[in-house]
Amino acid sequence: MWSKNLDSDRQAIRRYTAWAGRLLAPAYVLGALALYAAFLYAPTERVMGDVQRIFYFHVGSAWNAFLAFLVVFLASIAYLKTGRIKWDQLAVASTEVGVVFTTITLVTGSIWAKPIWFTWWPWGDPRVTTTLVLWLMYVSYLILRSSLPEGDQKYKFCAVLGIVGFINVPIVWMSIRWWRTHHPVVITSSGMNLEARMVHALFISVFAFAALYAALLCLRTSMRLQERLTQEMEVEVMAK
Amino acid sequence: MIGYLFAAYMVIWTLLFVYLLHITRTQRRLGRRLESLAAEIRDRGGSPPGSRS
Amino acid sequence: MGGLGLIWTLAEKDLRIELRSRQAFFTTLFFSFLILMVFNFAFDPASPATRKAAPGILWVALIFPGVIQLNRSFQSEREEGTLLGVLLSPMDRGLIFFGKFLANWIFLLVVDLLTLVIFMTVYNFPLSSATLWMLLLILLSSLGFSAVGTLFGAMVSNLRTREVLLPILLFPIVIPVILAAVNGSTEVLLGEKFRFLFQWIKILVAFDVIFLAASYLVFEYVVEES
Repeated sequence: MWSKNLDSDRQAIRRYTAWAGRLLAPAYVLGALALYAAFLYAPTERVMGDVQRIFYFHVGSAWNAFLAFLVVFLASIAYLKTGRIKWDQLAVASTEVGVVFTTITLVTGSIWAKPIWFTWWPWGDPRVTTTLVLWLMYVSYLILRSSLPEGDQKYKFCAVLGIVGFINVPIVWMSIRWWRTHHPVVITSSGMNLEARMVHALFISVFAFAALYAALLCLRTSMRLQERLTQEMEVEVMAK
Repeated sequence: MIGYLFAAYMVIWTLLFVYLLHITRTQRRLGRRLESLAAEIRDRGGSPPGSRS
Repeated sequence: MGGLGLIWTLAEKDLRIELRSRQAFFTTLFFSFLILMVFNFAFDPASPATRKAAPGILWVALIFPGVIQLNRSFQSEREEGTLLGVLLSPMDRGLIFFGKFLANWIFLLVVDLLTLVIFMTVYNFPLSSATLWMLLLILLSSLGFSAVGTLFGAMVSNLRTREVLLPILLFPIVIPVILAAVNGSTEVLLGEKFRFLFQWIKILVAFDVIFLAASYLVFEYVVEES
């Protein structure tokens, strides 16, 4: 099964490695720009003060975490349709980066909530709580991944979970929103007024995280493909 | 207040660093496996795929 | 025999096995009962706060034993090798899913209803017309729960760590069901005005429809013998 696609998978490795290299520099430059925009370019928020500057990176990583899980969903469908291993490796690489970004989102959100809402965990905000559920789902994906024996079955199961998990997101979102509407919500983050410069800073930060995501995704996919290829060759050499 | 801002960016920085460390270690392990594989092939009188270039 | 007949034949097979031994049924029911008791000892049953939390306690007592049942559903099939026989039959894999799902759902419904009776006795909730809404909530939430549970149960069935893996996979996905069921039954049991009940029922119906369809579509990928 593997050797049939060997050449095309070698090509995929080369392509992903090349893209990872190409994307690292833009990710670095955009990251530096995003830091500048978040700390110096954007004005200080009147009510929350400097703590609000957490917002730019918090949202940047949140949006891209969501993008990462969309990629998991699409790559999982592609894997089930075609049976090509590179789609599975793309899906799991995206899950990994997505979980890292979601962790960043949750921890920065929690740190931001403490001085603003006087609580480490703002259950009142449906976005934060939905992100928590996302985190739980994709961590369970990684746990499933690590407990299955190597083989096609593992990739299929993970693809199924990648699909089922993603279609759950709108239902989770709706249910959490309704859940919180009957409890008194003091402040939500939607009440924030964004000035033009703040919007610019936000978008630079979103693009910086997008570039970082793309670079890490290519890097991890290429590494995973290389690992598989190595394993295949080891088996082949030992058999001779 | 500024302490919270510092803590948040410290967390981002640390998490990304830990993740990159994890990637680097995986890559190093992979490199070692490839080297031993190439040595194994040479021992058996073959030439590893990368050596012809 | 049409599709529905085939589904029923499969479900009936599972239910008949359960009916014959009955051991699993009583074990699951007893586990639910124990959870209710443990909560009764953990929290002061006379305090109003416990009463407010009672619907949550009920759903914990329904969900944990449910996971055990779902785990067993495919485990015995793998152990006896009967799943292979079912898979070899010229039958659409989706129909197999519906057969297994139906058996799980009916089994869970029976356990859940008995647990509800015990719960309402132990926590002193009077039988009223509102209880009918509880039945609807149990019907809908156990449907969604068994749909996803049947899919994941098939996935983990031949893994060594299945006992812990199934809840790890299942709980994050069924969070909307838990939210809807607990909040819906809080309104029903604590006699509040039905302000949000229909919203919760809508969530449950949406979850059920979406996950029945999705599980049906992807089931063929999780049961292939490789």
